[in-house]
Amino acid sequence: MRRLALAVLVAFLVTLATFVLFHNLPGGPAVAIAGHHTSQAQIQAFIHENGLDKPLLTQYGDYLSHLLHGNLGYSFKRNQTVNAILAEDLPKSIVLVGASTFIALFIGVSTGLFQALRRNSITDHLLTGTSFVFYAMPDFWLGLILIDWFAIRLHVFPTEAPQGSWTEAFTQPSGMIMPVATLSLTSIAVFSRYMRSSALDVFGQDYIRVVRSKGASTRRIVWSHTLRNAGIPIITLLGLSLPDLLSGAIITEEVFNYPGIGLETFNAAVNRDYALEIGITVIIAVAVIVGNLISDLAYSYLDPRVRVT
Amino acid sequence: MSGHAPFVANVDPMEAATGDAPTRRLAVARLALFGTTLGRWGTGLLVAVTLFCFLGPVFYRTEQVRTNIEEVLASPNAHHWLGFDGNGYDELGRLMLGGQSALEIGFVAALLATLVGTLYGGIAGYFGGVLDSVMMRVIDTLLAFPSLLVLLVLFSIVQPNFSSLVVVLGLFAWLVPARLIRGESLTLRTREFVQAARLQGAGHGRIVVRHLLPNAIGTIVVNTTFQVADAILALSTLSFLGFGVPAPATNWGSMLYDGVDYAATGSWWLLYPAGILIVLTVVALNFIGEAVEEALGART
Repeated sequence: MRRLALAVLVAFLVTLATFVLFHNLPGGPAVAIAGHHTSQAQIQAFIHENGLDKPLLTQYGDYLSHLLHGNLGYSFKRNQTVNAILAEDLPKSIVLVGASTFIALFIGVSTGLFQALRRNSITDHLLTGTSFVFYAMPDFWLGLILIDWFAIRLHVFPTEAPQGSWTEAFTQPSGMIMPVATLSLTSIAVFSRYMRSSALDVFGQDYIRVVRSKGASTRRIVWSHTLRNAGIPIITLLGLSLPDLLSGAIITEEVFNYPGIGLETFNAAVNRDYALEIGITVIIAVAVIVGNLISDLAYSYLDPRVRVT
Repeated sequence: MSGHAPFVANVDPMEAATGDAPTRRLAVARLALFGTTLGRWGTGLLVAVTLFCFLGPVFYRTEQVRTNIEEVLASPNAHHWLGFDGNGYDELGRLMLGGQSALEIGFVAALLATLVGTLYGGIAGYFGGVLDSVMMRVIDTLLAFPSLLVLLVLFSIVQPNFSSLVVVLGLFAWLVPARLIRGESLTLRTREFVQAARLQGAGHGRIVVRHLLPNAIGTIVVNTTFQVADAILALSTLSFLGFGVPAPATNWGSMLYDGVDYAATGSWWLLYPAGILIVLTVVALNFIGEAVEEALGART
């Protein structure tokens, strides 16, 4: 209950932060929306029409009540509601981020476990080196190299991701392989390095020695005793790496011209479409808070020793 | 530590474990940077990249202000080892120039982040209670925003240049050090030497600055190293999206932003060298951070 109240408080602070940001734009929100070339009279009319001359507290109340009713604002640049734009883009990004996270998690956990079993071998050092390199690699550069080799030189995959609705991610999978590879390869190291040290800790525990002396095979030790104990904290790590994954999605979508929420964010920044930027920021921040809450709750469910209060 | 025994060489572990505080810290640093495989590779790589960027132009002189229209996109040759870019700048010389600003912005932004984060976390942890709760909720709130998203929003308002990049990158990276230092100072404040200082009448400011923070120096140093790596990556990413330092200044990310269109038509020298330099620098810094972290862990 305390954890839930905290999440709600943080979400509330997020709306306050975005509101303050929006109201401190150069020239104020009216100029930001209507543009710098609008006449003073038009600006005044716009200010009055949109209630921007009311006291700030009232305006924040209006903004909050709009948000709670699911109204994220209106993009005057696109002449569309932010909700409509998000409804179109969000599913595409969920497919991209979801698939990449799943693959990064699967490869990361198995690699880390494998390294722990063969610790300090040549393979272990090679894999550690490789994970450092991918961890240090800017997402956009990895994407560019993949395009250079697999699209331009070898013609294996198209340079662009599918452009239509989100279902095309499944009907044209060849266009999704490089974006998903880009986003997952740069995230594997986070999981594999954690899993390696966490599994090594478990191997050193007394209960593993007991199980081993009872004659259990390595396979049994890994599956029944290590994965559960070393793997559960990964859920927390997953929650914490959500913002990074979303930042990565902005880049990946820009490089592969994948029309999801990341590309929308980038275009909004270039076009100075503040209403859209703020709308996206709120929705993403709330998604991160909810993601962290879910990962905390899942953690305490899977590991009853941890009580979430 | 036994698992890492083969990596430790030249430095007597006892030396690192005894002696007064400054000598001990120096010994740990020496052990970390020169006594471990990771540390040696990291230090070597970082020194090599730094020399390349700052000393390279002395030996390999190029024109980096005026463009040379006749040589636009010229291939590498004996005099211009990595050819020319799409504006007619010598690419190798530009990599050195771009590296200078990448390293400078990265280091200054990381120092700023560490300074702000350390003070913030130190104060929150030292006073604890309601103040700590409020200060930590502020951090939770800011951590909910994916950093790149906020950076994009900010740079659609502010013109990117050296100082605005340093300030914005720095101010978005202080959250993690603040959390770490807060944790350290929460435990440190209960220790006897802090109580002794308080009994002697030391003020809060003096206790935080003279007694808490110096004892958290290990965490601070390790985190700063990672911060530099992160700042260089964030700078490259922002610059690749077109929000970099204005021309004729450049950095590796901006060079990739400028070169990406030509790279598709076979100008590989505009795509690979800049990216490889980013990776080498970030790997080197991460190696150093890991090595120091491990050496500090070995000490306790």
